[in-house]
Amino acid sequence: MNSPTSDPSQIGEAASPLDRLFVETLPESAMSYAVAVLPGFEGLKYAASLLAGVLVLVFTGAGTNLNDHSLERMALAEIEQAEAVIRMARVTERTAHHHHHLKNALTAIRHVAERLQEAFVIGAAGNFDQIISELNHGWDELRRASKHLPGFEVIDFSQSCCAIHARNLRSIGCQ
Amino acid sequence: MPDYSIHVLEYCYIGEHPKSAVMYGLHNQGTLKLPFSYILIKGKGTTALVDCGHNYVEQGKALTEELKIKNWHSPREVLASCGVTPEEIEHVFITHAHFDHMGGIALFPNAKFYIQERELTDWVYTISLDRRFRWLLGAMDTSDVLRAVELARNGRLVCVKGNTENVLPGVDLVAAYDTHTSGSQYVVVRNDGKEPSKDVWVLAGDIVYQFENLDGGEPNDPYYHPVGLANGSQTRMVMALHEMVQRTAGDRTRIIPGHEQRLTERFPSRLSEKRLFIVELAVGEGQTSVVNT
Repeated sequence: MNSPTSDPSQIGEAASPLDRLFVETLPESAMSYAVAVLPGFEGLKYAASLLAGVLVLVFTGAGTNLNDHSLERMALAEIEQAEAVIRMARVTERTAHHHHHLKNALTAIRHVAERLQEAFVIGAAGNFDQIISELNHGWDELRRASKHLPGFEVIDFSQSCCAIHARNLRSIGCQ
Repeated sequence: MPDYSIHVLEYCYIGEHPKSAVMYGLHNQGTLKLPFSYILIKGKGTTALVDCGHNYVEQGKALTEELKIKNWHSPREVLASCGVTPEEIEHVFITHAHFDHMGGIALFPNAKFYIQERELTDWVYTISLDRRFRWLLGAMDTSDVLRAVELARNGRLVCVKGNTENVLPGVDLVAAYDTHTSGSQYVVVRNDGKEPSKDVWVLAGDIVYQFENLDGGEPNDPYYHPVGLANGSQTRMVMALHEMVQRTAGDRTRIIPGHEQRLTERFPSRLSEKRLFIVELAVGEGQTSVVNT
């Protein structure tokens, strides 16, 4: 893991989520909470994207190479790790609202993963409209959580395009 | 008369974009304007787009602000210059899954979207990789995959496998794998409906950003110079450029780049009320010019 910097001027588009967390001064208890649950937030984002990807491939018929269900398994493993992190977190008054949305996201995304597992592995009839609705709800809850603490971004600015553009523009004097 | 009217419609731009992002390896050579556009194809009873821009919400909004993209306007405002509404768009050919080409899918409620299956499967595969591989997700909006779920569920996301002729009459999709992206495609319009055609347009997506990608800036002794941002192979990109030139029987002016301001100098054009360019490549049978008004 990158070591975080506390100098806001060093925080750019390529900063890690942990770097961004340190930009804002938080009470120590809130900071401890944030550092503890950030991997859970990132894990849920990752799981939601994976599950969405599975659904797109299935609905378009492009997922014929996914018969090993590895993406669903990866999502479930990620959700289990996120759940452990979120359950262990010491919630404070400052972080209660964030935690509320994070738990809602966990519940919704876990439910999606379980329903997909039932549908694809066990062969149960899937209510895909409900699954899609829950997936969107889970993503919305992550977005809501992201607004209550720094460092919790649903957008990854360290992706190449953004980071490269920003670095290039800075290097030629554009701010 | 041509079968289709074809218009390149700017919807926003970056004022100062590093030249090295447009021309591979040309570092420290300053900046240029990078317009963002989509292409309207109208005729034979249908209305289609090549790519659909990006939406100014969520990650699209954040990227717009982060990249200093200026003068973004919605498809409703942009298409109005041609007397078309987003609801009238029936087909959208997605050249690749970058945010500025696919991020507007929610804005076209009646359209069917066509993308190479390989672009879709590799996108999902890339999402599944851990953070160390995040460079591969560059310029992709991961929340687009959530929007794509609903489209796919409703049968509005069509996966294309390789070259597909006559996806509309006289309109072909050509796969260009491992070039700008893993599953890129470009669009060929045979505007006389014939094969072979004497009225070919190649709508290149981001395999060609600007004219210099096709001639290296040396029109009298041209060479292929690939774009500066690619997940695939530069060699494959160069070969794809050559294939495009072959499709137009050597006429490079018939290849329309994805981010080229100087289209306004080469073809009839005008500025809209929003100060965005409209370039007219062709006026289809029974239609009228939207630039000579």
